[in-house]
Order: sequence, then C-alpha cells, then structure tokens
Amino acid sequence: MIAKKKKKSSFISTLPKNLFSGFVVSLIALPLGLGLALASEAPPISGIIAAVVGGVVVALLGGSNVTITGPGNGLVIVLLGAITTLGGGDLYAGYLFTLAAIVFSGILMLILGFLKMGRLADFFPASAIEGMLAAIGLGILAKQFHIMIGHNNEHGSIVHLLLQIPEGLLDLYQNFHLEEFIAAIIGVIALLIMANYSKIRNKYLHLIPAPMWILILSVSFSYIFVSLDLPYPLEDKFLVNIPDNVLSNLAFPDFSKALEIDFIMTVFAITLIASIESLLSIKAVDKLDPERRRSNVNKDLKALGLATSLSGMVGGLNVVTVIARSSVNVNNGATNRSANIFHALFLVIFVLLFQDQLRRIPLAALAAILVYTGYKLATPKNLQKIALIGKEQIIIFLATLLTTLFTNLITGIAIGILVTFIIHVVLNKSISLFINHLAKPNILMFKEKDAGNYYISVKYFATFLNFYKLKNKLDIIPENENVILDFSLCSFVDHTVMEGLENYVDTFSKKEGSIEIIGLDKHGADSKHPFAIRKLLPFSKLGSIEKYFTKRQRLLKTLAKEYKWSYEPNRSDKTKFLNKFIFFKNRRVPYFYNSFYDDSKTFHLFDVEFNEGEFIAKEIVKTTILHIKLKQTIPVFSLDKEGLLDFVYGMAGFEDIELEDHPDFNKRFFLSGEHKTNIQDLFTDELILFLESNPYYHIETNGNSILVLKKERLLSVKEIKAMLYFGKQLNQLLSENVSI
Amino acid sequence: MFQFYVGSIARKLTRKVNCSVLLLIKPAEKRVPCKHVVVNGLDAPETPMAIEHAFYVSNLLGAQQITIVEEILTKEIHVDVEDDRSLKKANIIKQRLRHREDSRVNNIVCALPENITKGIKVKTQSIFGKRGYSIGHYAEVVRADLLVMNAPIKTSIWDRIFPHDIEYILSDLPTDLLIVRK
Repeated sequence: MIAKKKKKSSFISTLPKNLFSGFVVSLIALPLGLGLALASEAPPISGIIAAVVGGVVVALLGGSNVTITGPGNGLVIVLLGAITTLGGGDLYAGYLFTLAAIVFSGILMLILGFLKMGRLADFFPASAIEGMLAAIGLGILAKQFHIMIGHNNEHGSIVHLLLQIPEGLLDLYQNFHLEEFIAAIIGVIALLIMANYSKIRNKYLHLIPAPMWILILSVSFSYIFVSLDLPYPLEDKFLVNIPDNVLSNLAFPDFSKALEIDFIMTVFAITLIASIESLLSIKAVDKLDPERRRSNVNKDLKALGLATSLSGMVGGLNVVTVIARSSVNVNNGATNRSANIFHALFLVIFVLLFQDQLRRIPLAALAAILVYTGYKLATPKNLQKIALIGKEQIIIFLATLLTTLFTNLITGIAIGILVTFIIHVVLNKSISLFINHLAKPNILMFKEKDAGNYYISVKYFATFLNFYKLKNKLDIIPENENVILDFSLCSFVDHTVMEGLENYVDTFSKKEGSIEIIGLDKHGADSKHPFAIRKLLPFSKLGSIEKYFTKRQRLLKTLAKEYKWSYEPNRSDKTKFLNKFIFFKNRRVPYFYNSFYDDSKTFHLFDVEFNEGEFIAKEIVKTTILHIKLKQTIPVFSLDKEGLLDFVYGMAGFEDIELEDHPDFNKRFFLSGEHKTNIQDLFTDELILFLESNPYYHIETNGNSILVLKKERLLSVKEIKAMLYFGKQLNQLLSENVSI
Repeated sequence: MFQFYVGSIARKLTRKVNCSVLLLIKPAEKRVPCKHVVVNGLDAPETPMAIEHAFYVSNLLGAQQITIVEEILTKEIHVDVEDDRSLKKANIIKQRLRHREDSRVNNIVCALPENITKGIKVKTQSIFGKRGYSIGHYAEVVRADLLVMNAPIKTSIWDRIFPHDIEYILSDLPTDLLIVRK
C-alpha cells in the first residue's frame, strides 16, 4: 500500500516534466506526422490521427516507459506501394483500401503480441536490417527530393526517381516557373536548416526543434504577404491540404478488396515492417532510459496492434514506436508514459487551433524534412561502418539494399537472410553444421555453486538463426549478476550475435553486473572490429589469432598497462619450466599464450592448453595459470581443496599431512608433500588463516616456484585479478615464513 | 563411414535392449581412470535407482566425485520474464525450486547404504533448461568421465525426428554413458 502511494506521489511530482517533454515531442510530431502521411500519398491528417490514437492507446495499455508512438519512417515505402497499387491509379480509393489493410495488420500485431512474438526482430541478421533501412531511406529521399524542388508530379520506381534527380534540377533551371522556383527555394532553405541545426549551439534556438522552426518560418513567410496585401505566390497544390472540419471529415476503410492476393500481401508487409521497426525502436529506447527499466515488448506489441486497428478505423496510418521522437522525449526529461499522452493531446490542440496556419505550410518544406530523414537512414556512413566489420557484411548489406530497391521490402529482407546464411555456409565450408544443430538446444546455463556467478556455455554455432535461444537465457538473469559466457565449444559466431551481446554487456555493466566472454581467443576474425564474425580455426592456422584481439585480450592488455607489466598474446612453446610440477607430470603442454608478467618475471600469468591422455583418449583442456618464481627454496608440497578432485592425482606415497591444532584446515584442505616436518613448519597460523579465508585455489610448488590455478577452464579478467591478488599475498607470506 | 555405421548399431541396440547399457565412446586398452561421474537427478520414480547405480559404479571404478544434476523444467517457474518485476519473481521461484530439488536429492543420497557412499564427494547442481540436453552439455563442460541416465520410456521414430531427453545425449555422446534399466 505504501509503495503504491509512493508511486502515485512520484507520478504526480514528475507530471510537469512529462508535460513539457510531451509538448516538445509534439512540436516534432506535427511536421513529421504531416510529412510522413504526404510521403505515403495519404491525406496529411492521417499521420496526425495515427500519432494521436497511438499516443493515447499505447500510453494507457503499453509495456514500455518512455517511448513515443506514431506514424513511422519504415512504413512509408510499404504504404506508398499499397496506396498506389491497391487504388489502381486512384489515390483516394487506394488510401481507403490501405486503411482496411492497416486495420487487419493491427489485428495481426495484436495476435503476435499474444503469441509472445516480441522476439520477432531477433531473427533478422543485423546487416540485412541495416540494408533494409538504407533502402527505406533512399525510397523516401528519392520521392521527396522532387517535391522539395517543386516537382509534385514525379512518379515511378525508387530507382527511376533517383535517376531523375539531376534531370529535375536541370529542369528547374531550363523551364523556369516562378511557383516551382519559390517552392524549391523554400525546400532548399528548409533542408539547410535541418542539416545545420545541430551545429548551431544556442540554447534559445534549441528550445524549438528544427522541423518546427521550418514550419514557423515558412508559415510566417506567407503572413508577410498577407500583411503586405500581396497574393501568396504559391498555389494550393503546393500547400498542405487539411479538411475544414477534421472531425466530420474522417475517412473510413473500404473492406471490399479484403480477399485479394495483393491486399493480403500488403497486410503482411505492413505487419512485418511495423513490428520490426517497433521492436527495434523499443530496444533502442530502453538503452536510453535513464532509469534502465526493461520494457515488456509483448505488452507493447499488443497495444500497438490495437492502436493501429483503431487508427485505421478512423482514417489514420499505422502506429509504430518511433526512435527519433522517443529520443527527443528522453532528452527532455520524460520519465513515464504520460509524456506520450501529452504529446497526443498537444497534437489535437494544434490541429484544432491552428487549422488555418497548417494550411499555409508549403509541401516543399515538409519534403525537405523528409529528405533529411531519408538521408540519415541511407547515409554512406552506415556502409562504411559495416565495411569495417567485414567484407561479407558489405555483400549482405548491398544484396538487401539492391533487392529492396528493385523489388519490394519483403523480398529484400528475405534475400538478405538467404545471402547471410549462404555466406555462413561458405565460410564454414559446411552446411551440416547448421542443418544438424539448428533444432537442438545449444545453450547450457547454470549458477556456479562456489562463486555464485552464472555460467553459460554455447555449443555448435551461434548466429542470427539461433541467437534467440541465447537471448532467452540472458534475459532471465538479473542484470546485477556476473555472467561468464563460454564460446569454447562453439565453432562459429556471427556478427549479429557479437553485436547483440555487446548490447547485453552494456546493460549489465550499467546495472553493476558483468558479462565476460571467454573462449573466443582461438577463433579467427577477418577484421579488427569487435563485432566481426569469429570462426574456430584449425590448430595449424593458429598463428593468425595474434592479428586481432578479442575483448578479453584487450582487457588483459589494459590490465597489464595498469600493473605496468608486459602482455604477450602470442603463442610460445617454451613450456619446459612447467614440466617440473607434479600437476604436469602426466599432462603434455604444447604451448601457452596470452601471457602476462612483471619486469622481473617473478609473476607470470598465462593461458595454457594441455593434453590429457593420448590418441583416442586425448582430451584438450584450457586453463589459466599463475606462476610465481621464488627468491628462496621452500619444501615441495601441493595443496588442494579436499574434494576438488579434478586436480587430485593419486600420487603414491603422498598422503594428507595433518597440521596440529587446525582441524578445520585439515578437513577442508588436502596437503601433500615428501618432507612432512618441513612442510608443517612452513604452514604458520598466519598462512593457514590466509588460505582459509580466501577462495580455493590449487597451489603447488616445485621448490623454486609456485603454481596457482583455479578451474579447468579459462578465467575471466575479473577472476584473473582476484587470482593475481591472491598470488601476491601468498608469495609475501611464504617468503616471510622461510626467512624466519 | 564405418564409424557412423557402428555408431548407429550401438544406438539401435541401446534403444532396443531390455537391460542396462554402458556405452564407451573412447575404448582404450589401457583403462582411462574414471574420476568424475555425473548422474541424472530428475524427479522421476527411476531416479533413486539411477543414483544408487551411479554410486555403485563409482565405487567399482574408483571415482572420487559424483555430481547429481537436477534438471528443472522451465515450465515449473510459471512466470514469463517480460519486465523487471516478473524477473524478480521468477528468480525467487527459481531459488525455491533449487532448494526443493537439492533437499529431494539429498534425501535419496542419505537413504543409500553407507558403504557405497563413503569416500565419494557428492555435489548437486540444478539446471533450468531442456531436459536431457542440459545434462549432456553439463557433463561435457565439467569434463565428466561417465554419465549415468535413467532408461527412457519406449522411443519411436518420432522421438528421433523430434529429439528429447536421452535422444540428445545419444546423438552427441559427450562422455561414456551408462543407461540404467530395471
């Protein structure tokens, strides 16, 4: 009860903040809503209807916190296609048929929500999605560029429109037409405002977002003519068209085409793109949320579906979660869903109060806003970013982009998935790796009993095809826990997984947990980008791992810098010094790597790979070892946790040495060595207390040096730090004891 | 090819026979010491027998450690993690299930005659995950030398197409495997 009251009071106290950010968002949502609707060849008001319905419904029923909903960029291309093809030339009829499709797609989204398909967006390769977004960006840009320069009647495919751009510019010059010219000037100025807004650092200027500045300036431009009693030089066809009475002029869907193939395909396309755009945006906004809350995506999907259906019923476009408006919302201090409602309410107020002013907005100004949005989606920088990750990603990106441009979005994304899969098969030279193991569960997760951290092991392969399985496991771990993610049994990890994991690492570290990825040091990569595809290399090729570091290796390197130690990732086969230890008597050590030592080489920490058994009984084990050189000789002994049986090697003649007056120590540790009395002398009360109060390590000496190891797997950097600390203290205690 | 053929015969035998089966994946003339045994601790009527066999075999082979793995169905949590609140709830339930399973397994171990449990370190590990699969993967991760499982109830062709329980282990064979049947 008290908690509820507290919640309520904090809700009221944050209300002004949310009211303000809702207001700022509505300033952007107004031009974008009008523009996106125009870009889809729908009546401008339909975009506002979507934002209003979406804002209210999703805020009341949704499961996310600071998202803003409304008409989305991604859908422009699909809706434009639907309106032109379904109408068969008659745009208004096409719009009514598309409304029906929107209603159905809302119902489909609702069903997806109930089926808990919030995972849907996880099945698409990251580069294919980038390619799709770039195609959408180009599509918006291609069409709007012509409107921006005053050519309202350009039609055709995206590629055709793109190729027409130079001709359009030339035409502006050759067939001079005053109205077109003025529209073009407004458009270009608007574009310049959009592009340079972020560069001007002025706090008063930034009170109003750039799109709203464009509207204000262009509308006041028309009032200058009114005050001078001159006729406005732009005809109605260059201006936004809004019905006189918005409420009595609502459009209603026409369901008469509901059974045709075209219609059904449209429904699927709208649903797919709307869901992907929303899910990606929700994930992205969750990362921006200052309170780091986790959105309930399925609940949000249901709310979006319902909102879409309702919006379609009254003549509005699809409702999706939109990233740009949501980020503005967060930046202006929104804390909960009420900001979304306020944004909707302000939109209603604007439309009802400023109808006359809205009608004075030049289309070219709105088009300029969209051209900028389109350019941002398709900026060459994205391709550059992808090219850094690896050559294969460029192929995926371009395949998706070009297919989308020449056919449609659904085919484009399907080709993107197919190309990604084929590339994975070619890289691994094996299709059976994927086919045989696709249906199998490949993730093991358990809570390690001694340390209390989570351990996840991934087998076979991890790509976009089965990333959801890994995500399912990661999702159920509280973000303040420590996770060790082991890929050593996994032979192939793709870019989608690496990028997705980076997001998890981010969220965990922000909530004071951690994820450390181990077992990838032996996987080869084609580029030094952290998200590059990693493939397990055969033993003979192992040399190339030194080319590109994994995150663990980079962390080790920085750790070395911190300690002012040296770090050597290369393999070394000088392993003779290990043979003197009993532990390695029956284990062959071909090499060690990732070694890490101080100037005097007293402390030397490294990953080692050793073999147990030979031929068919051969097992390869990787572990991290700390080797400490001693200044003086001490008796040979080995110390184990009683029951840490992986390390007990049943040496004949060696038995547990009991220490007097320390029954607890005797019970917990297995101490063995040849010279019983010497060893008993060495173990002072202080040393025993130190050993008892620290976590268990396997410790053994060969007289001149100490060997410390913990587990028969590689250690995470955190564990390495703990081990180093332990080693240093142990070294000090032992040398003190001997000198006495 | 030959290996595959022999392997499929072995698997077929395993499915058909009416007695306990021990599958050795790496037979060697010189016996590889068996140090660590992993046994299935499912909440099933055959489990106490499987655990008893595991202890018996461990004694014979001189294994020093037995890990009893309780695979808990994710369904038993009854809460779908969708946001922070359900996550918290699910973790509390998981903790409770872990304790329940641990005490159940401990009861089974305590009921065994002392002469076979003496000198063997017993560890329990609960895993939330796919039944039959997780234990195989676990055995591989901890590098167990022998895995002891209950016999499955009659399997058919469908079970191989849609594998479950022991079929996962049979298709991967991460370690030596003892299937206990009455």
